[in-house]
Amino acid sequence: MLAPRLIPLILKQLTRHRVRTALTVAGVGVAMFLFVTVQALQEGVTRATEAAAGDTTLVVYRENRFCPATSRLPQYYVERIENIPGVASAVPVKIVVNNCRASLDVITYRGVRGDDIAGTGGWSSKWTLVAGSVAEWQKRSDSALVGETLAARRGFKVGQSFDSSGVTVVVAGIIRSDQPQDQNVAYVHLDFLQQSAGKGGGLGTVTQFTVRVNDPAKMEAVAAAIDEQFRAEADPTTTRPEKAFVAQAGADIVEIVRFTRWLGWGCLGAVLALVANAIVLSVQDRIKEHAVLQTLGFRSGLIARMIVSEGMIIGLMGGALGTGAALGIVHFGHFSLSQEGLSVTVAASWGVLALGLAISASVGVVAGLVPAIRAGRREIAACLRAV
Amino acid sequence: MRRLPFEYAVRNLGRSPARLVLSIGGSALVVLLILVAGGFVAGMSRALRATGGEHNVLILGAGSEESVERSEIEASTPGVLAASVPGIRTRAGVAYVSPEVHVMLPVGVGVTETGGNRRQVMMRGVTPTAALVHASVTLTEGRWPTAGSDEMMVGRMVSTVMGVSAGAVAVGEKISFDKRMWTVVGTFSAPGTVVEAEVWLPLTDLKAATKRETDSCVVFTLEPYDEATGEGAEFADIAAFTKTRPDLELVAMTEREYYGKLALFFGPIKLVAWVTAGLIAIGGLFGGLNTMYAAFASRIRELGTLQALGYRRAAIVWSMIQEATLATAAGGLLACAVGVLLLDGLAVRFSMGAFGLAIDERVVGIGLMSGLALGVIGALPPAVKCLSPTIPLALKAV
Amino acid sequence: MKAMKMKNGGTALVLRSCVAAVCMLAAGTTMWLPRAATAQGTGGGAVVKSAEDVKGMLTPALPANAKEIAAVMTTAKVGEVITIRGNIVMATDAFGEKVATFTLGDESARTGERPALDKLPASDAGIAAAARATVQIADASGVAMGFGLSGQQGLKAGAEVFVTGKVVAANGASALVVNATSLHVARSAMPMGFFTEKPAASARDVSEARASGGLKAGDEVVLRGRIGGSKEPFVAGRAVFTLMGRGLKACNEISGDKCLKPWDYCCDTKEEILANSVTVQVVDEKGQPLRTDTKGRRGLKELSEVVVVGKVLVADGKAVVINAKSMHVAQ
Repeated sequence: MLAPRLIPLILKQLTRHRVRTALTVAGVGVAMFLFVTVQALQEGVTRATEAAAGDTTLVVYRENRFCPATSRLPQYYVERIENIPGVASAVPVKIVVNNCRASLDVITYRGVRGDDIAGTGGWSSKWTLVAGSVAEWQKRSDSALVGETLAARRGFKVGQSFDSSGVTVVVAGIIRSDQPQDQNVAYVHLDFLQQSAGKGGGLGTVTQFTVRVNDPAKMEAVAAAIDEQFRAEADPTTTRPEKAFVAQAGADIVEIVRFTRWLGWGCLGAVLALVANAIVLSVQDRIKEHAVLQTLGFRSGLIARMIVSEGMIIGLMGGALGTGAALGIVHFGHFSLSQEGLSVTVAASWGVLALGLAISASVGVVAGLVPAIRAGRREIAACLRAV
Repeated sequence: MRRLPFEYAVRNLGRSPARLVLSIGGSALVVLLILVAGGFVAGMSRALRATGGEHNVLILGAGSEESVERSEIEASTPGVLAASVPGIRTRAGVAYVSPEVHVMLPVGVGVTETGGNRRQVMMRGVTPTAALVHASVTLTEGRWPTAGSDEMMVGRMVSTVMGVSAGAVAVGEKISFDKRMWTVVGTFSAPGTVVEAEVWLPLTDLKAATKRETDSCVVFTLEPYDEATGEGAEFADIAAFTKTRPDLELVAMTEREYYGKLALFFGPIKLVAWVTAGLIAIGGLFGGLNTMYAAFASRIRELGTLQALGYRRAAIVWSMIQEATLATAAGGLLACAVGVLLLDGLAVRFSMGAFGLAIDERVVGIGLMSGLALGVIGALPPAVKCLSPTIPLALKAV
Repeated sequence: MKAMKMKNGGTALVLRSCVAAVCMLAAGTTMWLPRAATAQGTGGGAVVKSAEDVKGMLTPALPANAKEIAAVMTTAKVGEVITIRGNIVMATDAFGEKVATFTLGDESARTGERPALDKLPASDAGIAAAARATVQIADASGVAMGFGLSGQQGLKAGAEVFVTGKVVAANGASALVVNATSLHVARSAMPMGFFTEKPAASARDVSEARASGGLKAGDEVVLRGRIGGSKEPFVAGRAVFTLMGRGLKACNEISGDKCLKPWDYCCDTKEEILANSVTVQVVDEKGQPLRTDTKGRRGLKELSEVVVVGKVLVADGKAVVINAKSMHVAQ
């Protein structure tokens, strides 16, 4: 451990070469910016695809289909699904998306019955209305409740109309939900979407059913029962937990994000190199000085710890800069990757912030270790003779 | 102005072999990353730009202009079109009209009908006229699949999309989808286009498998309009046709325009690739600046001596730039060699299928310029700073 | 020492050459970087030095708000920038000999028979001076350039031309000279007298005509409607557009609606739009739509109210297509 009275000395060492420190901190900041952005992306994927203990949502989709345009199920399936033991509710949903491929700017419409949104215990009870109201949404057939992320990305305001995929809607409200999928879609009236999307099956046809179960432990059993119910029908189904469904349908996104993990490691390597470089240069300049400190009674271990602390502080400063910038941009940028009508929101959280700071500090420590050990091991006389 | 000899810059590099290796390695890494980003963007753009015949027109369902997989048109549309629009190319009585179904479906290799690891692949249901309309497609092995026989042919990049070896989807191998095993009877190439990442099978088979009665689109080739004879047709003729049949709810666009829009759709992804490469370059630059500062700071006395000998500051700065640029240019050359020899053409699987990294002359140019820029920008601030003390102060420096 | 100097000198030479090669390579390859496109024929403003450069003055789209020559003759002022429409007069003197000028005439003011293209008279006496304009392509000092325009970029006797330029001479009665800055040459000319000054009598609203169900192929009709029905009701480059009846409200007639393109009737279903619309086309002798824009002619734009006289080509219970013979545009 280091006595607090030595901290001013360490800080003085850093400010002696302001330019060098500034460059190192900036370089670390850039690398940590990239690392934290990658982490935020990873976290978004995890939230969207990995099941949590309390998950109770199943998605009933047309078997062997992933693009919403190709999954067509008869709306009357909903009554049969609701009668299956273990099912708390079943909501028919029609999805229209302007492009099935993975990209950053996709508009997804979800057509849902009015009661399923606005009725007692409806989905809107779990949302926060950032602007507008559900009542406004109910007044017009072509109105939409737009997720906050989508609204921010496209600059939608209440009362504004926009069109995508040949469907024009008016924004009646902007919603905030803790469900990642809700943040990036526009909820419209089911029959309006069925008619407007025209060739997508028309009235009486939906893309999927969103099913809530009574008991999370029985999700698999309920899913199997639903698929068994429709196995022999003209439109058989595949039922999966929502997050597993997102993981499979959004496989491209998951793969892109998995690839960025390498980028994250590369960034950490860059941080290590930058801080190590700066510490090595700094230590080289102070060989004689360290020898003088040792003659004054500073033990080699203490000097080593001081050098390591320098590395940690540089790492922490750069980490704070990069992490803060990354989280700010992620928070205000409202980025999300979408595919097949499903979204992965790039998520900014306190956990990612803490992780970024902890990792940058740790890497700073590691970077300082070797120069610190070498400095601590040098002979005083040899150091005093050094040029 | 008297300049310092070039050998001076060269020999300075040799003062610290470790630092030299670090500089070359660092700049090589940065330039390589820039090449990868540039190759990714260029490859994606090129594949989308090249896809689409010059005179090909696409008829889609209204509202589906951004995604042909969403489109549905009546199966009778191709016939109506061929009868109503003069100027469609014909050869030996066969009109260049290709009704098609485009759909992304999960497909497995070497597995049973229902199990195994599956990947989504673009399936295109076609008739034999597709070979006429899509002139870039060439059958390289085997034959065209026969309808009703569970046969298909695969593009050259399908193995990349599916994450398997080329041999796993070679002629004679089995692929599973729709709970059936299908036989690969042919392979085709369509160099530089996204079509190479597709699986083609008979239109009727795909429609039966996906239980649909409608087509996704019709692609047809126009005979270029001849002002002198009045023969042929232009895109506006097709647009006029769709206006006279509003009941069919059709929209017409050239095939190139369609893929061009798709390229725009991926614009944000390309931007992200460049931004990432740029940030890495900036990070590398900061590291390089630090290294250069250290290298030059230890020579302040020497620089003062050179000035005392009569060399102007500008000449010394020029020498320092030479020194830094030599190292970064060497790194840049190394990176370009790796990029061109190892990375060019590397298949990348992406949402639209697959395409090859295009480390072309433009990307190489950007990489080399980046290497040079790293050297110049990396040397300038430290050089100016180290030359700022007056000669007496510099000579007294430690 | 000498050997070492030579060795170092040799190394330096090699390294110097490498750096030079890198610089040249980089500079050379970046010459492949996309250059800004120098548009050809994309809207005028091009520097014209020869007949070939006239291509740069051509605009692909028909300019909106072009006026008839007779209408501007009395009001045009020197220095004013105007857009006029006319047909190149049917005479051998339509074009200047080795000078970049041609004479534009207002065919609606013609008296007598229009000369045939293969029997052009020396001068076109059928169009009075009050309905003619002289168009020239001039240099910076305002002098007509020294090359002929006959046959260049579709310019020939009878061709319909839209000219945007500055008035250099106008006496308010019989002389109008314009220095052209951009030209649009219609690939197909609209039939003479297609646009009428007064609407035809007994016009029926499109919605009413469709709802009555009485339309069938071959019927002569007079229909009134507004241009609209989709985001792009005009077909670019062809004389085809869709007409909507008053049975449906355009979006801007619905209170509180903020549609950017109110003529797309997006508040109505596709079936309703179909049932309240007709497609209008102007065809040639082969029955193919004319290769020219209709948008911009006589101020035609989305939601313009028009009265169309024509014959029903198709009326199959779903779509109705009218071959128009004449049209009146309400101002």
